[in-house]
Amino acid sequence: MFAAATIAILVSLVLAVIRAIKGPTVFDRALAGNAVGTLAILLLAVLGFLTDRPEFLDIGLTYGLLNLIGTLAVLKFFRRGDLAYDMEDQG
Amino acid sequence: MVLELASWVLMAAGGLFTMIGALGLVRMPELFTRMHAASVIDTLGAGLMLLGMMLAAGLSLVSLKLLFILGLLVFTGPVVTHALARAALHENIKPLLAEDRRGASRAEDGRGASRAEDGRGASRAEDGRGASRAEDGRGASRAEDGRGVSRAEDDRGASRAEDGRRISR
Repeated sequence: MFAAATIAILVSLVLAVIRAIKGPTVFDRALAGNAVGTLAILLLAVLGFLTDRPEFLDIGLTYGLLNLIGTLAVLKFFRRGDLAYDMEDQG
Repeated sequence: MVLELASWVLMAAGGLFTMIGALGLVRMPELFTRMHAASVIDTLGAGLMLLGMMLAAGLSLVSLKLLFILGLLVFTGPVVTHALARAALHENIKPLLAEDRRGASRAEDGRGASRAEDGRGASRAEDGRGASRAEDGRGASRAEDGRGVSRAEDDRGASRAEDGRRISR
């Protein structure tokens, strides 16, 4: 049953990558990148069960934190044009 | 045995919802509906799949780590979606409304007050009922410029803001 879940996750990853390639705006690509990150966490967890190595779950947790930071940094960059903007001209 | 079956069912449902969400990510017409489809992956897909893995792992450190991953996804998913929507609106990417696609065919709906008008203003001019609705003063008089940025000219602006489909600045 873990193999079936792995196949489902891999199919979803292919579809998300298709959207990341096709996406007309940069936000479509950021959305697809976030979906790829979530699916990668799931894939790591399932692979940990599939190979009886639960250490993969720690990698999945770390990847989830990095995925959040990375997506927010990309969005902030494309919204401000800069990662270190002045807090006072926020709006 | 029962636990194994429940785990199998949960993981199969999770994989199904994950594929549905990814299919929506490809097939949906514009950014905001794609965000709606991608949230299916974050909530139902990942949630059911991790729950199934927790049932398969039993009560151990592994299921605790799976619970942490689930909590992480539950909290970070809405944050990322919110930041994405705000950044997209900041770049003047507007949601594609149903009235934008169908034009005046929704004019027979008859509920002018609770309905967002077409942002282009062209279909309202040609549907013939927009003018009479503008005269009865029930809030249908909405002048909008070509880019869809609404000027609050009527006194029903609050109810239109509650509509949620029209972004006024």
